[in-house]
Amino acid sequence: MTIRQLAQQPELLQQVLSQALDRGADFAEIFVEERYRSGLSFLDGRPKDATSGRDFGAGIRAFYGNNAVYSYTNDLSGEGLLQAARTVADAGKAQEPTCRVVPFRKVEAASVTQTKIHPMDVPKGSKIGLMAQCDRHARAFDPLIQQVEVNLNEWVQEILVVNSQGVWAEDVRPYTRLVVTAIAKDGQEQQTGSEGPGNGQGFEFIESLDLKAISEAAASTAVTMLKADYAPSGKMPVVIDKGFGGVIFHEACGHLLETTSVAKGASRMCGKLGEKVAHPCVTAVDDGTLADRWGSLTVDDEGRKTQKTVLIENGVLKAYMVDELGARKTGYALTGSGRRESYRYPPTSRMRNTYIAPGDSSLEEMIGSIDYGLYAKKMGGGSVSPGTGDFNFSVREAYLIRDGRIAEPVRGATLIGNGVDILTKIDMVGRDLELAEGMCGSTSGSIPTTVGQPAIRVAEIVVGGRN
Amino acid sequence: MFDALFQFAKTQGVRDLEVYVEKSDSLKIGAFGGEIETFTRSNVQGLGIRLLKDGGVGYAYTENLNLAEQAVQEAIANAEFVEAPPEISIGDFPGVLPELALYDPQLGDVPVSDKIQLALAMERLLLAADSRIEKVPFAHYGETSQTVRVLNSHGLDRTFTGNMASIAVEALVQENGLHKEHYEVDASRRFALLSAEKIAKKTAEEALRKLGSRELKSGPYAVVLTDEVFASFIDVFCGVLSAKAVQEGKSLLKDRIGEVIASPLFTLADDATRADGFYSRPFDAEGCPSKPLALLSEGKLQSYLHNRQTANKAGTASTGHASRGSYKGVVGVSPSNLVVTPGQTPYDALLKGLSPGVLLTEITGLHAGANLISGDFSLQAQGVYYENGQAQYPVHLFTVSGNFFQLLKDIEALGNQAPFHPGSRTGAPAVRIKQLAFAGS
Repeated sequence: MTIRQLAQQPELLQQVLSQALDRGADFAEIFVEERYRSGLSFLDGRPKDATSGRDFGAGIRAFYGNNAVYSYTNDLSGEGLLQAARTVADAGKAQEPTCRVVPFRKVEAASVTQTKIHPMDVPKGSKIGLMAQCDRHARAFDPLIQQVEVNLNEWVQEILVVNSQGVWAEDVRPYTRLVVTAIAKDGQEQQTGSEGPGNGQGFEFIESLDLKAISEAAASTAVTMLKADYAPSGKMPVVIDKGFGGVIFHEACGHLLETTSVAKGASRMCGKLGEKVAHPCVTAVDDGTLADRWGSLTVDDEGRKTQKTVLIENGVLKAYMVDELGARKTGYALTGSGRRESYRYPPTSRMRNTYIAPGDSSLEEMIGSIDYGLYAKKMGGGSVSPGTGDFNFSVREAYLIRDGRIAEPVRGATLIGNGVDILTKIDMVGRDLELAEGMCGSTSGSIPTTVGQPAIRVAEIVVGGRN
Repeated sequence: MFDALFQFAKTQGVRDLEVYVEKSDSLKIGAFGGEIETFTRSNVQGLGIRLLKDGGVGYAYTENLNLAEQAVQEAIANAEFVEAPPEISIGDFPGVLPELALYDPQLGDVPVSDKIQLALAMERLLLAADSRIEKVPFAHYGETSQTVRVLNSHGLDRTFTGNMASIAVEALVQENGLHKEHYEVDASRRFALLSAEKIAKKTAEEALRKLGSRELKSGPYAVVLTDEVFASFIDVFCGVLSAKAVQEGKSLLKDRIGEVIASPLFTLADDATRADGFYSRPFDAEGCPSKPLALLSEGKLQSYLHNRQTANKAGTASTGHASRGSYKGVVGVSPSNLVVTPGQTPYDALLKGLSPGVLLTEITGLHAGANLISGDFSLQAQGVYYENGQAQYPVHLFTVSGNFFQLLKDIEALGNQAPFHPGSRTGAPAVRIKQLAFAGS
């Protein structure tokens, strides 16, 4: 059955939930997903691959106290769903159900993301034409550009979530992302630059982009890095630019505030609500309500309305990001943060659009305050171990700061530290907030999130260069 | 089941059709706080289509195998927009498949209660091992069974089924305000070979060894990579050996076959037929039979990894390295098991050369800190600081940086054992490298 057909059969869904509750579970949930995806790539100045497809599946979850059982399948027939529910019930030890399904009440929430132009409704020829423009702009930027790759990834995810507490939620979520990567080559060396804007919108997002600026920015990073020296190494002050610079907060602190680890006592931020955990100039937010953004959700993957969650206010820890199981284990209020890559994963608390809020300083003041340090202009990804707080993230384009001025470019390096320490060292926050798109990986799979911040100054951090 | 599909494709004017089908079952059990806190079962499948039509190439996939014809139509629509390069072809691969024992039927027969006990035992033993072990955030048992079938309209139809069980555990330790962690994995097709005692002991030892970690002074140092760390480097950078990356201008190994690009001590092969490897398979994603391939011999580059398309373009034969991430992916190139020939040097002798130097025991952030286009890397790391060949103290919160191609040239000595570890595709020995750049305090 399709998701539309299942949505017309609440009695069947009630039956499946009851089946899941059959042996003593105290909560049951069905997550149904259909996804249409299209991928186009452009390389060597011409179209390279065109692919498209559909995902179908459902995941049935049951709680026995704080323990969760999950079963997922592609079989969306009534019998397929009942079989998955039986699998989940089999984990229970009771002879009879102890809990009954409450009548469904549809969650009413204003759509945060909308599909104005569905990817299927745009002729592929026009998409390829736009990708060809990106290719031409990037190559025209500099003769050192030897190769350009353009990827257009579009998908629309339809979900239906129902649970034994009567939650009935539906959502249709569009995602569109364009990635332009340029390779600059000079003799025996080559370097790369990349730009990857995305949004929680349909094709209208691509129409809103300045393709020339994006392509030239990718080419510019590649060429600049080719001519750059190695980054310095050791501890020094760093100014991290706005936008994807927010990856520092995502890694150093974001993951530590998910009940995914907090509920197990496996995060350095456990038990610190109300405490000062960061410099007073740091206010940090995780917000699912921002219209059209890549990390936004109308409802989360547990059918709960999303919200704006203030995580840290003027340096004081205010909230964690809490999913159903996390709420059960900790007693903290739900924050609409339950997310999963697809029906193949049980959900857990994850980030949405996570950013450091604007402050009072200017970029000039920050740069001006440093005798010798690094200006990190473009960032890559990173990772963290929430149990220790040790994190890393990579810098893709950077410049030395000498005597209060931006000086020569240097090649990328990884910056590392411990989150508990680094939060106290963010001592200046700029005024212009920008968000940037990325993919975040964790126990419930890979999901779209944004990171963001204005420019910030970190008083001291280890820069992993070679000089 | 697919005869009708091939017939349908013919009526649509498609003579070259390839179908890639994956079915898998899995079980995952997680212990926490003396209880089973997560228990997941799955049964899923999917089908990927690649076809050539009227000079174009198109792909499509579906997770509903009853909608395969719709997927063919989508692939046909996609093929209108991508011109098929002359070297692309879909065809049979005559030849005998190697006989590999990738499926152990007994694994599925082991009672679930035994698997539950194994997960619980890992946590219990770890927490009991030392009072400084504060928490075991996860202790998992996992099992997957997968069938892959590749068919095409030129008569190729090959299937293989494999299974594997794995255990993974993480320990958090604390002493004097310093928090460290360690994570271990083990895997086998035979349930009896997975031991809670063994993994708990190793995890406890390695985690506790990190207590007392100090910062490392920045600078260049001689370095020994453990076998697992060297294997991780090769896992991350092996893409430079892909003929696809070379032909797309993404690999610095372009036009360098026959050149010495690494130390003469370094010999590397790819072998999908290894019984002890974790990436073995009897044929690749196009159905080409697996066979061993010499990649580097005593530092000299012998071959790239090829699929049919890259081989046709290079005027050679496929080496059996076509890959698809899954039925959703496009056909690319990937290695299978990578085998580094061990050297002569016992492990202790490698360490004697560190005066001063660093033994690198762990590297993190590989997905972000390694650049395959340039070969540069800058990675978070942990290890032990050595002086005069003697261990001084564990070190942490530092990065190690360099260039992968230079690292291969700077190999001074290789250890004498090169086991495969689960979670890695490479069986590598420990190795001493002349110098890498370190950044810490």
